[in-house]
Amino acid sequence: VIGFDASLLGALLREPGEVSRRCVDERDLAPLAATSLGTIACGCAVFGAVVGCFRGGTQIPFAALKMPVARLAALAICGPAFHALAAVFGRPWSLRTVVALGLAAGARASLVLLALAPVLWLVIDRNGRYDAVKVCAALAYAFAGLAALWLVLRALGRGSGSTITAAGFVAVFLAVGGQTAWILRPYIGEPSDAVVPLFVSRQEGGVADALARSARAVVGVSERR
Amino acid sequence: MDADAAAEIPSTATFEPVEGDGVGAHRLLAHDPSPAWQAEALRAARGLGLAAIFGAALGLREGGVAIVHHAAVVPAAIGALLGLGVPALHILLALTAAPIGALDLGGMCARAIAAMGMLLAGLSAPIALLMVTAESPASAAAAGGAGLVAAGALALRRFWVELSDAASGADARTRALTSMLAIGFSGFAVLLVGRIWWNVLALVGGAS
Repeated sequence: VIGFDASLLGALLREPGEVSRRCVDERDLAPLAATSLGTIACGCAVFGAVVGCFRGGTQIPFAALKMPVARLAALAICGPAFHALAAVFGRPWSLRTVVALGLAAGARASLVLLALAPVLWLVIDRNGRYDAVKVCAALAYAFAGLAALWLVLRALGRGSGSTITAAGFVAVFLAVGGQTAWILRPYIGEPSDAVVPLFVSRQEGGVADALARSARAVVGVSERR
Repeated sequence: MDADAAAEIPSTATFEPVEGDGVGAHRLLAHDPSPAWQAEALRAARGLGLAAIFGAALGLREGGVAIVHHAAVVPAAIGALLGLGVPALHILLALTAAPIGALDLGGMCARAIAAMGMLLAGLSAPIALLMVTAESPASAAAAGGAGLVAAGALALRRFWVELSDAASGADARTRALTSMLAIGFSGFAVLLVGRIWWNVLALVGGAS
């Protein structure tokens, strides 16, 4: 039975080069994948629960459930694209390698989200406004994304095409990750909603538009909520 | 974050796949040591088939017949370039005395199409998600267009690099003329394929 290997968590954080080499060499991928899956599920769930604390009640378990689903769905959809991007830019990795790398990078990002969850909770606890919480959560995601990107960069190495491959990975994951997260919204819950719905069905533009509106509101360019 | 560890990771030049599905990708894109028309045609056909998957993903926005329509048009535009542009390029290359035979040129085209098809097929799942769920038609069109442009640029870059490598043994005049022909062919490819996609694909402004 392939189980969760807690010793791999330290390797994910401290030895991204070794983890990426393990993925590229296809060494012991099953425990790495299982541990990464568990880490993504737990890390994103905790972060989601903290985000849901803004409204409290049922929003806490809803957000805790939706965050890992969004992350894993994005990874699943991006897998073939990463495989193709790596192949056409000189790294014909197997799909096993690409999936393992994606999971390991996702796990590293989830551990960073786990670390940043208390900070976000403090912002919410100090009566942070809706837009401020939204921007803080996005910044936490961006920081976690950088941690994940570092692991991927180690796997790509310094050969030709590594920069454009990494840029392709980032572009695809930003588009897909943003869209999967957008489909499963809300996580925080609009203050104007008396009851936060499980899913939003009204048209609201898009994830980039929503973040830009919140950023403007935080710096006081637009009207305050 | 030790820099030494990064240096030990295999780079593009040293990576040699030994087994698994990475070999399929490698075979599709790598030079054949003993090229043959049949093998190169099969490679190009695979690339076109992979591109059709992307077309089908584009058609998901409208659904129904549009899926088949888009799946046909995306590779058809590349096929048109193969039929109209590549023979002309071969004639002009022969006029400049470039040391590039018809089979060499066919192999370059096939590898470029295979790379394009592989990238488009890989992007199909993300594009399908965006086509089905994007609220704004402009966002969907931008995503689809970006995928086509990225794959097209990749194919042209690959073709250009291989053409330059093949002409590297020739004299300076022939190399310069080959580069000029490559620039002209790239412009022709962008205009022809862009015109077909723009005029026929409903997603990017044409009528389905």
